[in-house]
Amino acid sequence: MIEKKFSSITCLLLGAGGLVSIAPLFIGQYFLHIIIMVSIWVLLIVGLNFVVAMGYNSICQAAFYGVGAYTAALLTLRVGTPFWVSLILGMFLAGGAGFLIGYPAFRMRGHYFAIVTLAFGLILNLLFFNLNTITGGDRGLTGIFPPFPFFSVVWYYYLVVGFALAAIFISHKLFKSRFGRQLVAIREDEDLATQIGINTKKCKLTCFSVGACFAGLAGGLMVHYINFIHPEFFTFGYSFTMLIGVLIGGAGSTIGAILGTGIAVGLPEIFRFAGQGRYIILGIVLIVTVSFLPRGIAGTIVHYFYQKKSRGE
Amino acid sequence: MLELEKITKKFGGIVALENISFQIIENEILGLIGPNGAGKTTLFNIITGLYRPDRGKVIFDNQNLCKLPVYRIARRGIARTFQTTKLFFNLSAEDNIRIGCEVMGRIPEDQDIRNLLSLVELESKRKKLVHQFTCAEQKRLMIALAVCLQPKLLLLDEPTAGMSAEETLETLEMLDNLRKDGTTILLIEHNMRAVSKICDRVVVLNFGKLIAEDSPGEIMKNQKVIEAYLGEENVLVA
Repeated sequence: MIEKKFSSITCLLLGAGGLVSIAPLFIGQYFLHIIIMVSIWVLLIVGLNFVVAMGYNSICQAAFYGVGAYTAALLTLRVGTPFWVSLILGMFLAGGAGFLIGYPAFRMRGHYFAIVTLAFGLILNLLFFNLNTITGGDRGLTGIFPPFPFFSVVWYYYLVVGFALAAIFISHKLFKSRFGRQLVAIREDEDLATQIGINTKKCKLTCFSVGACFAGLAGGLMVHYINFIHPEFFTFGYSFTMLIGVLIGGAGSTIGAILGTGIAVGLPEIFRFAGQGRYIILGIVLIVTVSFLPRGIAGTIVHYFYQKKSRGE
Repeated sequence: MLELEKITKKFGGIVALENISFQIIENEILGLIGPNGAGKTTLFNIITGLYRPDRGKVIFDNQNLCKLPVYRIARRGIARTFQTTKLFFNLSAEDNIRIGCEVMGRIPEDQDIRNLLSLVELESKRKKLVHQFTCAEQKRLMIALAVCLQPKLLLLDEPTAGMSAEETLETLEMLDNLRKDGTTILLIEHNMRAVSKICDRVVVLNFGKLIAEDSPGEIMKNQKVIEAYLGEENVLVA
């Protein structure tokens, strides 16, 4: 439907996969590090995009990121579970947290929903800071190492980029599916969507939980990559940056999520010389985008083609 | 097919509906008329599960609908249109219908969508965005969206409001065809010509109370209805 113009994404993914596999031959460790961090953000923003696609602005994605990260870290450090088990349990626990938070939060709409998710995000972050005996509090936790061969940056690069490409593929398939069209219906008019028989509550909770799972997976990957965890990584500021990425890129579009990641991560990096001022630049880009391109960059392009098609007949 | 048993609904101190009971028989077109604020749309909202009645039951195919969520009621075969147009305005007519068909578990072929849109004479505009449609076209598309849900019972809230005489006639013809295809219709309408032309029976509400239930011809002669709603002049016109 709306994303038909981008149905060639499968080819793009295959091309990207090819490039990814040979990239370590040509680029140094620093750039591999950048790609790993961007891939982790792709997981976060693609996950958040499922929720924003329905017109709900969630501001607690960083909290789910934290739940996944702390679960994976604690399992690895305290229980000694294998890396994959920690990663998967972290992902599912974040998904479970998503379900528990989503259930009451989706009783609200619009700004109220955003405020409730912001509150839950702040509560979880406070827990990360204050449950000293479990989370290590302000000191954080160290020594969270991945198993062989993933302590090599190159291998970890393949792992994380592989997950990011899989997330892009899943997101693309989801938005093109019948379920994806139901998300569009909810965004367009939730009351009408319910009246024609869409179980909107189930759709919203599914998306919120799946988005949280993606964030949890990203958390597990991140913590095993930098071998350290601290509550400061999961503050609401990160949730805002992720939301800004989705809104600028274009909600409800996989391409938009990728673009949004590039902007949310890339822009502050490019303007690092400006210190904290770089976030002012990101804010200005957000204001300009929502003022002139309310559908986001990719959303506007997709809608332009959609309208053009409708005028052609 | 649908039986309302002593439906009562209050909003604070206002009694919107009081002890409303009537039946809709399979394959009939039942008109629901009354002055503004009589409770017609509230009754639609109760049947479709948007409001819960304070008292009474809505029995559809031998099941009480009162505790079912809105989407389940729609999936059981009750579809509705709205007084104020409600559609997915930023999508094409085709995509509106596609979403409706998919909800009911069908994967519609292009031809199915064309057929449905030709029913409301919008086939040539199937790729157009809905917000570009005229008011009458939007109303017709709203009916098509309801029809694509393959309802057993179709609730239409003023489907001809804002239409020209010619468009009204076309819409009535379409409703008659739907009935012939086996759909039962509950119709809210202010146009008494339309009501008398198409309805088998008419139920009249006034201030939340049922004041008459009869054939259109008898309703036109009913003194209570004339006083509460129709007025002598309108009866003559109709």
